[in-house]
Amino acid sequence: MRLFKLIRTAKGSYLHILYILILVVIGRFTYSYVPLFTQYVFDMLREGSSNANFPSFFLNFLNGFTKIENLVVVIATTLVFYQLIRFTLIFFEEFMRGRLAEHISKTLRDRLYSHIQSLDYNYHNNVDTGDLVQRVTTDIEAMSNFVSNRIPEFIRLIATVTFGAIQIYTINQTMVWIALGMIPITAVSSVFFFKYVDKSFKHIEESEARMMTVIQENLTGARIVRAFANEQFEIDKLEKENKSYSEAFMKFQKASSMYWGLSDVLAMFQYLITVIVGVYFVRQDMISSGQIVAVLMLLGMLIWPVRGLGRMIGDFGRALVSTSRIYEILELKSEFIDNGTLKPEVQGEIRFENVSYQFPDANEAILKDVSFTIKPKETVAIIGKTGSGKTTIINLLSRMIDPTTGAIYLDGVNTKEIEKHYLRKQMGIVLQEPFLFSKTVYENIAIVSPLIKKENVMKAAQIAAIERDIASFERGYETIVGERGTTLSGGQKQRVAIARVLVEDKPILIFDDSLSAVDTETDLMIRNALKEKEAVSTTIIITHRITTAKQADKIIVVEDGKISDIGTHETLYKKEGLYQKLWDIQGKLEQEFLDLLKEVD
Amino acid sequence: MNYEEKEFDNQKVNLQTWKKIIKTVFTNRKSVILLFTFVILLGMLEAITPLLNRYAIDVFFEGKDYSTLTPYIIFNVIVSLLFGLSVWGFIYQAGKIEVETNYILRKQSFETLQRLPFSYFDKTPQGWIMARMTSDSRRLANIISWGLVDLLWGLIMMIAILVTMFVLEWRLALIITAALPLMIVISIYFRTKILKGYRKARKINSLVTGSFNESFMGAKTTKSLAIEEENYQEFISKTQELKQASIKAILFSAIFSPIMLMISYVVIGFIMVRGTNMLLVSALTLGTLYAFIDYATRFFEPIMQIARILAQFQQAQASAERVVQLIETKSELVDSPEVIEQYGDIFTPKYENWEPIQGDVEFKNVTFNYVDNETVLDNFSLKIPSGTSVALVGQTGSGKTTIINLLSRFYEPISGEILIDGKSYKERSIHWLHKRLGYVLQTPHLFSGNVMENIRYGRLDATDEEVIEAAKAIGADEFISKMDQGYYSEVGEGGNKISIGQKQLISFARAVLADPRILILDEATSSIDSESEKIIQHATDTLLKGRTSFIVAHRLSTIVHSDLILVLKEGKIVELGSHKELLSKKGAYFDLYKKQFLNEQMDKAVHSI
Repeated sequence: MRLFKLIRTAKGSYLHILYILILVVIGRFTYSYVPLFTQYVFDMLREGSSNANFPSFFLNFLNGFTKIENLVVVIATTLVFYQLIRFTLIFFEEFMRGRLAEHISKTLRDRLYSHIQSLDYNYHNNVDTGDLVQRVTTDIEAMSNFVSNRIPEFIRLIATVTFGAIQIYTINQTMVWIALGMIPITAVSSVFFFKYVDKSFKHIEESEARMMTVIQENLTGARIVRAFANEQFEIDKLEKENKSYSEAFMKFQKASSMYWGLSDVLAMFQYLITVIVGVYFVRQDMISSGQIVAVLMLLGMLIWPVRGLGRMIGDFGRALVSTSRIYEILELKSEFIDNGTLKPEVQGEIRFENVSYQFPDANEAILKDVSFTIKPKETVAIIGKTGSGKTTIINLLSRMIDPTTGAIYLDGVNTKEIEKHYLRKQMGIVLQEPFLFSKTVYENIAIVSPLIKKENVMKAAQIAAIERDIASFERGYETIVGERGTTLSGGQKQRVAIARVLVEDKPILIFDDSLSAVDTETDLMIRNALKEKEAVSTTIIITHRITTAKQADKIIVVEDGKISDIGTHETLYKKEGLYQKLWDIQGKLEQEFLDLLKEVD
Repeated sequence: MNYEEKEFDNQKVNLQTWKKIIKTVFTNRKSVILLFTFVILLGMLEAITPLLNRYAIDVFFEGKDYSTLTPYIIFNVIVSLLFGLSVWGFIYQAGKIEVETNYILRKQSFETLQRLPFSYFDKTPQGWIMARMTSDSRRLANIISWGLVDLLWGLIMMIAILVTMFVLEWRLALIITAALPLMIVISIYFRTKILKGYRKARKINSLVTGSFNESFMGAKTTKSLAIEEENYQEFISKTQELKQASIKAILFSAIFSPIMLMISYVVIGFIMVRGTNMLLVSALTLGTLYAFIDYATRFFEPIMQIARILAQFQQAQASAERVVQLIETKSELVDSPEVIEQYGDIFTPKYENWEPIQGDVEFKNVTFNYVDNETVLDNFSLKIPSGTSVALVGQTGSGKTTIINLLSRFYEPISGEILIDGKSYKERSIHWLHKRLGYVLQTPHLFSGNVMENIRYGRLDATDEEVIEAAKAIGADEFISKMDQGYYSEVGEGGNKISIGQKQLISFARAVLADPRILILDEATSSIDSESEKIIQHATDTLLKGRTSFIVAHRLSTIVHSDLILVLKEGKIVELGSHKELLSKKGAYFDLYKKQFLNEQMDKAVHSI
């Protein structure tokens, strides 16, 4: 039940909501008495007595004043104080509504942030981030707005009409039917109109999106537009979309001018009919001038808000849609539900035992029955083609994903038994496409903990060969990078990401093709600088560069999700297989190069 | 130029800017006049409605004189209809002005953008331009139409009510008028406070959204570093800040209208007392007293309204300035009046005066820099006879792209000149050159639409047959025919429905269709499988055949096959010659070849086994 979920969103604030609703009802109830003050004054002036629907104690109190001048002063003063109390209540109601909206938004934002962070690797691999941003902004707003504004607004409308009608009823029983005659028509037309508004907004948004695409593509393709001299063509293209957007927009403006114009006429007719009937009643002596004035004032209170009914209903529909979009996320399972508890000291021995993995929506396993052992402090290269399953091995090791069958052991402990955060903290993983946060370079390198010492940050930057780049930035380590800062090159990003995992000593270091965007010379520099670190950590390097693989203690060759060979360079290049082929190509290329030189000479 | 978002600054109203915007609005004079008429009518009608009730009370209820009832009803019906008419009319006209202003601002911005040289897009962030053409122009159009309406309506209504009140009974009118200054002061004070509060909240809100976005983009990194908790703590401190800022803004806005209403009820209280006293000595009718109470409740709404509009105008100031800035951006690179005289401009070319092109290109002592003091090309000279293919080789920043930018006249030399067919290209129009130029980008740019339209972009008047012929020549026909709808298959936004290799072929076909004398090819760096390699190689050969071509080359085969290789370093030619000549020199080209290309071949080898 979406409605139930929507209401549950405000859990913990139910009492708060109740107070607000009580304030709303009281506010409307007291409001319906305001016209009676005028009625009373008019009645006293003309009839010398009044049957205004005030509580009897107040009437008795007023009866104590015989002189009308004094009576009016008392009435006016009471009205002012009465309103003072009412406005104080209104202030509290508005303020509480605002606070509630902020509270619900914050709770939802925090909850979603935390929950989305805890969703597993596969989720993040496939999710459309644009859509997610939409959900955490617009949908949250729609939900909190509904609970804190639309519900009270709806109650207010009902209370206004009810109390207004009751008040008119006590003045004159027949009058109430006449005064409220147009309300159903207004309400129904409002519902239809706002339905139309919703629909036409969809049209407007669609045509706006088309127009935006034209502009966006024109900007991205600025070079092509100019090189082919198609400026006029582009202008015509935009003209078409700009026109169609304007037309869609104008259609809406036309409809809304019609609606508001007509509904105003309707409301004015309602007044007129009431006045005419009033005249008839006054003629029959069935109603006093004061009473008819009060009826007119009450009418003004309730006739205008009814026109917004359709908007409330539309918003309700939207809030329900938003609710399902939010709960769709919240109901996904956190990856920390299947968590281990152990936090063993890690030496760095890694063992894969008959591990297979198949992506949830795939037909075929990406890793098939993989077994191997890596000794502590060993440096291992994993080599293979793109898509052969190298990265999957790393993801399994860090429990981003869990094996479909088989098991992985760290120092003899099944990794499923180990607490996930703890496990990942033992590994320094440099991803293929690392992400830098919108912080300074320094904060990015020291991101794992604010307690990292400055010299460790410097040292790490030095090993990762990013030091000189940082020095060349205008603000050095204080340069802000990422989305809202300086754009770094692919190679620079990779090196910052390398520095980031080097600030702490980790038992296991993993480089997932992390030097692909770095030129060969720097690659070599980093690898030499890393030698020292590799001596104290188990190091896994995923690569497709044979020169990189060559230097490892052990080379694991992966082909089509299977391990085709394990060995050192010395053993592998003599054996028939992928490694040898690569090695041969390397040799052949070098030979070709030499031949070419000869030919040139 | 400064691209920082200045939205949050509190700025003085800049009349110069608004004058320009208002001028745009006034392009549709008829709508503006109609709008003003309807608004004035509405304001007056609202001011006289209480008089109708006053008449009913005094004549029918009090005087028991029903002789004028029928005319009264008729008059009332007319007023109601006029009321409806003016509401319809002003919403319609204001809506129309909003739509048209939006349309015009966007159109003008876009036309300016088309006039600007490519260098503008190099320097200006795309997001900045997009924001001007979306949110800014929308906000401006909105405020200029509805804001002006509300402002005018408020003023008219206030004036009409004031005049009516003073005519009816100046002593009571004075009471209401007395409260006016207080209300204005309070309105302005609160509006400014509220506006500031919401701005602050909005600013923090955009930070929160940024954090969300970052957490989605960096989810895998967060997991691998196990820093979920740290991120979360940082996030909740931001949302807490947002909550506090918002609540503060809400506090002010929640207090504002009760205060205003309170003042109006104090005024009503005074009117009741004073009115009754006057009524008792028959200096006032009951109907008039009613009308004054009615006026007192209506009178103050426009003040709140006007305060709101003024605050909004102040807020929209930054939008207005930025949009005007965009529309008025002057091109740094224009044809001289004499050239335009002869060749026409991009929108009205004089094709009859255009001479044909051979394709000889000469750089004569060209010096160039993007930013002051950072020379990119230094006294660069080079003569290329028609039909020669030139490969530009060198590291990032060596000046390859600059040469191409200059040749395409996206930029012009600081000193020296570039000659085409022996004549400085400044003596002919930019359009003349661009019509003769073909350009194939390393990351091909496709437009939403189908394959046919994308290829035809090279020459807009090409027939379907010509397009297909171009595709066939390049070897793209095969994959296109296999697509769902053949040449009419949609390529998606930015071409996201097809592969990079296919995009490249389409952009090759586009260039073939354009049949340029001079071709620029910015080759892709990414490695591709050997099958695609063959197709691309064939396409490249077809494309280059018989044309003067400049290639920012990355692929060995392209370089080896070019007539001339330029090795560039820091904006200078360090080596120049054919592949074999250069290799035998064992200099820069030799090193580059060995280091870069050997490695790239290895990378490719892994993928192709």
